[in-house]
Amino acid sequence: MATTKKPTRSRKAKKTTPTFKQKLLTLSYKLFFAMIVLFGIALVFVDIHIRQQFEGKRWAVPAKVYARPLELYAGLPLSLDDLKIELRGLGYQFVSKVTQPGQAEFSTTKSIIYSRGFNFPDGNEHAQQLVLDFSNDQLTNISTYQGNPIPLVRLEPILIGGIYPLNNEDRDLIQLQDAPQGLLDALIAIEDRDYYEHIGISPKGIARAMWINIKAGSFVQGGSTLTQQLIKNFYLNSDRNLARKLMEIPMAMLLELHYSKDEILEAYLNEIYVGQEGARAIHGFGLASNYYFAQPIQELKLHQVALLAGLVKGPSYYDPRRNPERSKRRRDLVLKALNEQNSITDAQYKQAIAMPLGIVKRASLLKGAYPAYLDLVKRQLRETYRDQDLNSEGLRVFTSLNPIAQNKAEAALVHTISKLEKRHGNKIKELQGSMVVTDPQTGEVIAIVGGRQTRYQGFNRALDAVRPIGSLVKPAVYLTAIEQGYTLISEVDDSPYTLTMQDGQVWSPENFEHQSHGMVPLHQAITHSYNLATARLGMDLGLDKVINTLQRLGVTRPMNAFPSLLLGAQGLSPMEVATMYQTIAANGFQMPLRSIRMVTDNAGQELSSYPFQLKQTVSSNSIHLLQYMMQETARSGTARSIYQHLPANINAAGKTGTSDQQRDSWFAGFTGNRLAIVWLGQDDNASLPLTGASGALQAWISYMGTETLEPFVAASPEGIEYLWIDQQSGQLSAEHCTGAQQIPFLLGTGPTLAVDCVGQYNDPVSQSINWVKQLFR
Amino acid sequence: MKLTTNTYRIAILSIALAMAGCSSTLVVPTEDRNNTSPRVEQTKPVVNDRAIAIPLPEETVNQSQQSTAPLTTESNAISVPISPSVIEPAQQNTAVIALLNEANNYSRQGDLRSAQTSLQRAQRIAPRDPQVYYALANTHLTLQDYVLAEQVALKGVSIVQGQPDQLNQFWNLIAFIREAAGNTSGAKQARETASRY
Repeated sequence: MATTKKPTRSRKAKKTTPTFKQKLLTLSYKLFFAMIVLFGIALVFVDIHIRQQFEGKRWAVPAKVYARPLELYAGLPLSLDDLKIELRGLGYQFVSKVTQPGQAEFSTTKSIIYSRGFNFPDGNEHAQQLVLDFSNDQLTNISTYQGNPIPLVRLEPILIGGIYPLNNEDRDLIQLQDAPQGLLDALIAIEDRDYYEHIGISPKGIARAMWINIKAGSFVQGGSTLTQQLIKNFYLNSDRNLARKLMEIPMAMLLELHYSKDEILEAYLNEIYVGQEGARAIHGFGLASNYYFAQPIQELKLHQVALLAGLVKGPSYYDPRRNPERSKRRRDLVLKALNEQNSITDAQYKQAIAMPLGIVKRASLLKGAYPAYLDLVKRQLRETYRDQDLNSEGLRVFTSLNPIAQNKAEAALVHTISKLEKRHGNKIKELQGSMVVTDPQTGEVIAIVGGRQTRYQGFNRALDAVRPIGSLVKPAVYLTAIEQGYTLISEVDDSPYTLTMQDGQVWSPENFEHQSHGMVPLHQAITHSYNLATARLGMDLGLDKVINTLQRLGVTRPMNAFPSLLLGAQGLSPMEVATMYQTIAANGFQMPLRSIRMVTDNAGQELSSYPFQLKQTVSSNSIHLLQYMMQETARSGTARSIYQHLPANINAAGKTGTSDQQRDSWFAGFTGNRLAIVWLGQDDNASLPLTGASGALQAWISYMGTETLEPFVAASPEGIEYLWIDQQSGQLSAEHCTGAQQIPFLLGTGPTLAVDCVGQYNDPVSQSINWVKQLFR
Repeated sequence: MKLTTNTYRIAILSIALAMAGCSSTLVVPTEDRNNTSPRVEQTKPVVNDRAIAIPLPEETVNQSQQSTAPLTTESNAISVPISPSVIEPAQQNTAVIALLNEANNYSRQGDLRSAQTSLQRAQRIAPRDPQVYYALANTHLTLQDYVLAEQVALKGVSIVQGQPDQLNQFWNLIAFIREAAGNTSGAKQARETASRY
């Protein structure tokens, strides 16, 4: 053996060589020591991790997107019904007597609102009772409950959506003091009775849970403490395995070691999973309150908080929308536990279990209700912010969406589409449509409808359906003509026209009704949307000039200088059309259409604002003449059905558009306070039995008919003079002469010769009959 | 003669309305296309059967306008558009006055961003109020954003057509902005325009 060869070493070895048992023991010690060290290191790491997570940013909080707040002031055009739309969106309860924030009462001409208050970036609005008086769809007076007049107050804005991270977790953070005491009592009663006594784990709780479960013969109570549940939700994945369970215990104890019970409870309130809506996971009681009751958590009653506390055990199993009876049994069990622990009296208990669940329908939740608008907001945000900032930093995004206008636009579009489908039967397979509504004065986008399924998040036709605009292009042609020296009565040729292009192709446009009209005054050619006159005029002016005008009106898409451009072969999205018509409505000032007013961080500090910007690109004189022709289109041209339905004094201006082979039906028009673009068509690009006037215009009228409109005021600029013109000869006439029409001219460009007044100036009877006839046209 | 015409009109209109069994009040639009000084018009909100009400000025005051006056036509030309040469100023809304004051306070404290926020809030309430644009242009001027300052002032010009005092103020402001921006000839031009009012 080795011992004989190397005696010295052998002696040493003899002295120290352990037996197998000793070896094993030593190894065990070493291993044990190593495990202790490793466990200690792991614990230190876990501890660091827990503390970092807990103290740092604990949650990825999605950006919150808000609608515009409703500004209330005497003189505001607002009907009681409009106010109700707004308050429903805010989840107000309509009661006979308001007693707390989030309630409203109504009489025929009055409303009392108990507002909730809101922390706006530019100041706080506190919760208060507001007395509102209405008359003729106008808010005439606003005062406090004590009768003191209030010049201006903002309601809280409706939350319309969030921008979620990849895991689709959504939550509204709350602080412990926001949570009703009833909710805390209920959670502790049903989930963890010893919460304020234990050290993170509760052997007593486990024993009690086992006993209760045996007694009940089913699994009614779990033994995990709230702390353990938080650890599960907060740090660990959802796998149920022993290692996870083993990690849970030291982690829960560590958490308890570092943080107070209240801190842990607050984290629990915000972290816990309480429901699922499609891909969106509902976390925390702040959001749960909105998701199930459409109310802020502070306003919840006992029976409501008991339901939420009961949900924790199984949000899907106890889903009050899918399993209302099961959910009610669970709620009542929570209430019973509260009663048994003397947190509520017998009377409170009886009253609460008699209450219905009170869950709102999903349709009444406005979060996610306006996907097309939110889509625009997200696109504009992504120009400035990274995705991870948007879905984790809790940013607040204040938009200009007007929920009242949005509701009306959706209703008008959907209603018109169904009506048209009914009327035309199987000539239309599946009519689609979209709409963009802006404030023509400020350039704010106030409503967007992306398709007839208004809550569908898919294809956003308002932004992405690029379709030939047909005659909507004509204002650009006629504006170019005005700038090139044409007057409104310059004669243009509406006779058959054929153009042979360089490549030998022949272009032979036709008028819609396949008739030509010979020489016609410029204004008539656009108001009746004559194609032949427009094609000739456009070619005379030059395609590059017309394209330049379109660009000055705000079209940025590259355009091909084909002659067919003059009749609207160019495709644009409704949003691009809105940009173009916005410049016309705003007297030649081009302004970027804005959907976002301001972005702030979660503390309300401004990060970006989107100020009112504008640039005059068309002279106010030229635009005035164009506006006149577009008003005439509405009075007596292709859009004259407007005044069969809307009041005579709104002075609407607009243009119908029908694309080649009637594949697209368009209308673009504005009043003083609303610009709306409507597109109707089919996704497969099939022909329609509709024109711009018989399709899109009808949806436009339907929408405008529900809005509180202000007239369009086309103030005549200094360089413009109005002259009475004899329509037949184009010469000067006078006010009371037959066939005289008052037409605007750039100063000094009007006719100088006058015709004899052929009129019935001396025949007041027939003149008056004509006048009455005209009134009812 | 005009009196006679109107008498006939009224008579025929009354008959027509009676025959139609119409009991509602029809507000006949009236229009003034004469380039004269601002009218003083006693008006009430226009209410039609669709219950659309437009607030009208009770009196002509030399204040900025909150809402637009309704435009109506009296002649036989209802089938043609309506364009006034003059828009009367309307009484200013107390909400707008409050916001203008707020903006003014912010400006005085040097907080021009907050002033702009208040002014844009005022603009949404009264987008045809020239004072809003005047104050907004001023904030851009102070921030040395001359291009935007001039554009906002030009927007002001476009809504005060027919109001010489206001036009004078806006063109003087534009002259000042152009001067600050180093556009001497433009400033001179604006001053000349201002002097015409």
